[in-house]
Amino acid sequence: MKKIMLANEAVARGAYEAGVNVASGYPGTPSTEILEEIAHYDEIYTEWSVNEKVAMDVAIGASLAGSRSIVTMKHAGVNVASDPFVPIALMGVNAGLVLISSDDVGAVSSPTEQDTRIYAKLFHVPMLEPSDSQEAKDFTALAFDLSERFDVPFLVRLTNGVSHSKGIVRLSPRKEKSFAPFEPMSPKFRPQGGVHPTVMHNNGYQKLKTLQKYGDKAKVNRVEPGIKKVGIIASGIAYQYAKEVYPSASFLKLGMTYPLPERLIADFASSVKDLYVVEELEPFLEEQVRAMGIRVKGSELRPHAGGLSRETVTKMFSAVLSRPEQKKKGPMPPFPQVIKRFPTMCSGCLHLAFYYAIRMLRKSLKDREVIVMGDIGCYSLGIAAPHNILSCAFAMGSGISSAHGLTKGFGNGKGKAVLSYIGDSTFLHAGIPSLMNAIYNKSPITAIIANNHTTAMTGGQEHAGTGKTIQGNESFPVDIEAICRSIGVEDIHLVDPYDFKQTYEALRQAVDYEGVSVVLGSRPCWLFPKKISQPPLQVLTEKCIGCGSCLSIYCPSIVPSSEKTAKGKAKVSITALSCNGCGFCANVCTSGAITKAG
Amino acid sequence: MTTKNVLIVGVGGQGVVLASNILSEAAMISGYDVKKNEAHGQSQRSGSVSSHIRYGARVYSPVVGEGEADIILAFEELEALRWAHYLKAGGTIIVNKQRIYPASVISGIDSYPDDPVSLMKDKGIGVISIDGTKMAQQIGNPVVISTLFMGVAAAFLTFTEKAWKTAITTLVPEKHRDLNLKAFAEGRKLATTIPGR
Repeated sequence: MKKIMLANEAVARGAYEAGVNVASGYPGTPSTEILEEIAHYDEIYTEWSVNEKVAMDVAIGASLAGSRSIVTMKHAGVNVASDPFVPIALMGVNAGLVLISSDDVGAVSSPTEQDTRIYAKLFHVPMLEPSDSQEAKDFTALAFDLSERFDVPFLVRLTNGVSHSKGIVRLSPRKEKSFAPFEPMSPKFRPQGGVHPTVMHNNGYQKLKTLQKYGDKAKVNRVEPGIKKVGIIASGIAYQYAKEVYPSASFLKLGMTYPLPERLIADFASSVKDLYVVEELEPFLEEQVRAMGIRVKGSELRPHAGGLSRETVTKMFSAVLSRPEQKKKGPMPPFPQVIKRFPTMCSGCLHLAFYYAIRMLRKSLKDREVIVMGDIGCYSLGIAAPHNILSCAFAMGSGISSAHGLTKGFGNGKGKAVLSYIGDSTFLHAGIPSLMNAIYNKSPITAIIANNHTTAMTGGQEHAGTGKTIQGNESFPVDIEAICRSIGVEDIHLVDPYDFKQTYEALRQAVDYEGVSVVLGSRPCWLFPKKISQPPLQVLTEKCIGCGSCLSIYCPSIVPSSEKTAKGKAKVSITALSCNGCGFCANVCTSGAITKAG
Repeated sequence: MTTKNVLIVGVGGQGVVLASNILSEAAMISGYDVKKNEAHGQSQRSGSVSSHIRYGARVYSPVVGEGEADIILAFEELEALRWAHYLKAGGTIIVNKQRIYPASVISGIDSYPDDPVSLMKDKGIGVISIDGTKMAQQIGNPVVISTLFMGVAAAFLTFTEKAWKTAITTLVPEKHRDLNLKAFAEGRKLATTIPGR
């Protein structure tokens, strides 16, 4: 049977067919769909873990217990999961253990772009890189067989070019696997006690040597003979672009990109006149090929950042491409009249209400500079115009701890009001230790926690605070307020973000408090878990005085209208189709001009 | 056969993803290799949405290159203009008569281009403008614009009626199936009124 599948969906299918029993992960674009799809298979225990390190630990435990286990995350998540992955990679596995990372090449939905392939070297783990949906399924399943055969966890690395593409996949049935369970006193898993870390380190190195030889003969690495003039080494989506641009070239298509099959590469290099590596981001393959003493071109012909496209790969070969392979005539230029269509915050989003209160705080604290350290979520959009609320946002849970550091760097923050801004899922992911540290080290910060009861940015996944598991089963909802109180937050303000006065007053008091303050505001997301619709509000045009207060919420439903006041100021109107009726604008309206429609 | 390149573009919530899934499915049913790439993640926040579909004997890249699209189906006029340079010489762009203003236009920072359809026609691009939004409403639900457009696209692509219908039946939930099959038929009918088709 064949089916059109997203590569992320195909990874899930590969895990299913390979008899995987346990799956864990944390949402992150472009990896999120993998675990969501795995959760549809009843045979696999699946969980959203609170963060990637924990997800990794869960998968490690399951592997030790004798269950094939898979752990999924985006590139930034690998940074978080790296701590436990370094030792387990050197210790080895019981049942197969596979880490799936999908890199957001082009940083479509990430504060950073990162090439996770480099980790393979640090981890001492072999890495497979699928180039389409069929390979995504096949390589995932293969990774489990090889993980057990070579006694090492595998890294399967995707990029958004692969993860978010669809292709035809041939399906196979599931094969159940069983392994001897963990031997609690096995020296293998007891660093220092049973095996010295340097021995583990050397074991890891030796396994890679064996895998290198395996790679020379493995089917996942294949030579596709073509013209002798040009040879191209490529993998992943870069292979597809190169194949499209230069179909007549000779190709060495690598499925296993670490460790590299040196013999195979040397033979391929000697069979062609000019050798190229086509790869995205870091010159990871290129440097290794060069270290083998082989002359190779690549990185000097392509952009370092932002990934590749058909167009950039065509440019790489513009000097050598034969005429028929060059496009006859370049495409027409884009229309200069085109304007961008940026994603917006939703109408009525609780973050817009919080932003407004922060904006007013900035206005009122004339003698103190208001600095807001942000975090990762929908509210990261607050780093950009028109909101311009966040001064900085870079990693999960880092807003609170870096705000604390900022105050210490400023000499306890005299003359400043230092705040942090974080959402619920991110707070539970890595915000708790940050807040604990601020309490412990007597920080004067104000931590805003905006709780919309979902992981909104990635599409509304459940988390430890929602009371639901990934399969939608009832669970224990972790209480953010109780966490704050239990770790010693004394100045805590529970607010309704739509109540402007209450929120503003809470912030005003919090920034004057000498210790850590928490302003915790809760309102459900309008999109997830279910789209909420309430009757829209309307503007009583005759009452609107054109003060512009509501416009500075930057709610997408509030727009200037064509009507003017006597003084020539534009009045406003509310787009009924998109307005959620949250009522926040009616709260900030200075002339009572906004009411419920009807 | 040489690979066919199709782009379906629009704004979040317009049904671009469903349309591209139906087209890909119809290609697979017709025995082709097919790949599809889409810009995810912005659909629920009023961002641009684009879906690339390529089918043929063997498809490598899932992405349509600039100047390579045989046909572009644009559910919104600004999005049509944004992607028009992906059209190959002699290709056709079918544009829905609808304008959805970006937030930057509403807040007065940007201005929406004057008449995108004329701008494209002036450059000699083969543009067909249809009022799909209105037709979809008449059929009974604005969401059927996806299948309505597939009906129009069917005139330009070589899949059989059966392949299209099987694709729609496979991908559309049962309760909306009949309405969508009706929209597809209406789209086909509309296409017969297009000169040269």
